[in-house]
Amino acid sequence: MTNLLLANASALGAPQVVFVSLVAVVTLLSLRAVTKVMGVVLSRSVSRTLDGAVVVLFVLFIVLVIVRFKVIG
Amino acid sequence: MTMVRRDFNREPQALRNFLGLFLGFMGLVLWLVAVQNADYSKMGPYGLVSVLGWPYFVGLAFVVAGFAIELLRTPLRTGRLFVLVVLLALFLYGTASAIEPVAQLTDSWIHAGFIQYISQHGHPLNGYDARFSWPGGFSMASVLVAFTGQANAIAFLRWFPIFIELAYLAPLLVIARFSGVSRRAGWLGIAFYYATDWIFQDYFSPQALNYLFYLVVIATVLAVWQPRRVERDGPEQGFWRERVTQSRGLLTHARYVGDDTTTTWGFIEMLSVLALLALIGLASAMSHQLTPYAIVLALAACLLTRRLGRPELVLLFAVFAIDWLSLGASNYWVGHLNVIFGSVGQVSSTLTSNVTARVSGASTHLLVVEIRILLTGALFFLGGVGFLRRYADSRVLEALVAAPFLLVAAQSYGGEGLLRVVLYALPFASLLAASAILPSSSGTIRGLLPAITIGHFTGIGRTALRIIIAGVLLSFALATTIVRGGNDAYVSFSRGELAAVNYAYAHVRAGDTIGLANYYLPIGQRDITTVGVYNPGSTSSYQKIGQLLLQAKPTIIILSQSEEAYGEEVVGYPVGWEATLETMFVNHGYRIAAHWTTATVLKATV
Repeated sequence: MTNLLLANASALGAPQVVFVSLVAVVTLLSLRAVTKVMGVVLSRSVSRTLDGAVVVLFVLFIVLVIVRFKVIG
Repeated sequence: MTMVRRDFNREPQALRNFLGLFLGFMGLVLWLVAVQNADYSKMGPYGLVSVLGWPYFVGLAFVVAGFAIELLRTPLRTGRLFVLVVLLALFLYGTASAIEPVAQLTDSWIHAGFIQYISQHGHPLNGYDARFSWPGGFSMASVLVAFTGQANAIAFLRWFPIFIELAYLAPLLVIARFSGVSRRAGWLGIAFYYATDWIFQDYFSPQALNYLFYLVVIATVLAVWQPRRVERDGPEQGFWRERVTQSRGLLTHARYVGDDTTTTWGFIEMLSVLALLALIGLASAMSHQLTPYAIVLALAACLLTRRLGRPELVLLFAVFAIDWLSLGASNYWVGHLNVIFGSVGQVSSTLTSNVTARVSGASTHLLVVEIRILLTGALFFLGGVGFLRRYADSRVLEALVAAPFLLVAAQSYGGEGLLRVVLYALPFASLLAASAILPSSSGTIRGLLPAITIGHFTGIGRTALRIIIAGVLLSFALATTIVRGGNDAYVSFSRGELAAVNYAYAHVRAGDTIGLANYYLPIGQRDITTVGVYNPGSTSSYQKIGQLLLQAKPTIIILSQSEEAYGEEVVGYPVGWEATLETMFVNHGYRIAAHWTTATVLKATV
């Protein structure tokens, strides 16, 4: 069991997990902003996927923060 | 002969041309006289206003009159208005620094102590104080201390309020220029802001720096994006129908992805601005507890009112703030999460702790608190009239006034949440208040009240407007003079009190404790890990303070004028209560080690 990435729920509250999700959200937000500002035309499906990924990762980030509060707070 | 007649005609014209500036100059001269003549040692329970003589008030009236004259001149001379606004700021934010012998507020001295620790050790002190969990501002100040070759940050404390208030002027000018109000209303709004900011969060602190960040972010957003023009289909609709039609945009996808805005900025400029805003967001997230969330709400308000074209910024600022709270500030909340989330949704108790609990103390203190409430209420009422009167292309100002109030629902912020909320709303409420007097008459969103014309900018109408503007501005400025300095009887300090603190630090060893009767001394600026400072807090009786101090057995006890004034003004202790305490300490193992007219140091004999 200890070899599994999320061996127990408390691992979700680790700083690294929250930090990685932060980096992911910031990267996608930056990508979205840069493509819009530079006028890069994205196909409808790519645009929707990007928007969906931003929303999903942002929600995931919030969930991880809440878990961290619950686990170590 | 002709030449002589022409000169005589020119004299009154030239006088009129320079009247505003001349009044400003006279105001400055009178301010210098007022500062020179003020005797700090005579300060009474009303604080700063009790040591200000007539030159201050006449000088302030001159500056306000000069501003009102210049504001309605055609053409508008912005250089002169700038000078007069700076003079107004000098009166309201520079007077205390000029008169009082040392820097105000215990917190600013404590912040100097935090900075000294970082300078000495190269890192913040975890677990010592909640403020150290957001150390960005302190770290930056530590760099500044080293850069300027100072031994500590104390040299920055005294004049910081006027310095940072003048720094606010740059973003305020941009906000006024791009907020959709007329140019004259913009200048009047800035003057209203300076004339009503009694909240005193501009002392040497991270929140003062973060307020600058807040204003800069909003100024940048307003300057970059304008609302896309709404095309009307068909003939003009009825009053309410038109408003419902305009509000429908709030429910469209385009509004939330920033497509209802337009910009003339090129992509290189835009990317640079976005990168800089992200950097400010990061700096703010790690340097203050509340401001990052106020920025998030303000950005969301801009997005909803078609003034933000890149919605990513809202999420970016939010993840920075939340991430720092979760990771960087975990020392603060681990073990007492209730401090953060305990007051969520407790609006009623938050308002009680923010307002009702503050309306207490001696009659002099009560008067000051009541004028504060009245002043704030008057500004927001005038802002409400401005909302009803003005035409606009976007309701961004109204949204920026409303947005910070959501913070009250989430956090009482140690009983100061409402004060901060008012502060965050103040620049925009001031612009709306200015619109009550000088409403914009163009824009796709029509005013809710019929237009009232007072013979705009001609003859009697112009004079009447000048009188109204001068009257309102002077009333605000006088009220702020009274209430901003209304706590100075205990938040300002004498040289004797500082000397007593320095004496105490020089005569204690590592591990010793310095005892205070309450919080109000210039203390905490050094040795924060080795010398403890104990104050028993406010108790129902001053004898209890004596008992608690004797139980704590500090090496040194400092009794001072400011501590005594706080007890008398706010807690309601009898006049001269510290003399009784002094006798109690002398009878229980302490001796008077040093004495100044405003402070006494008692040292344990065993």
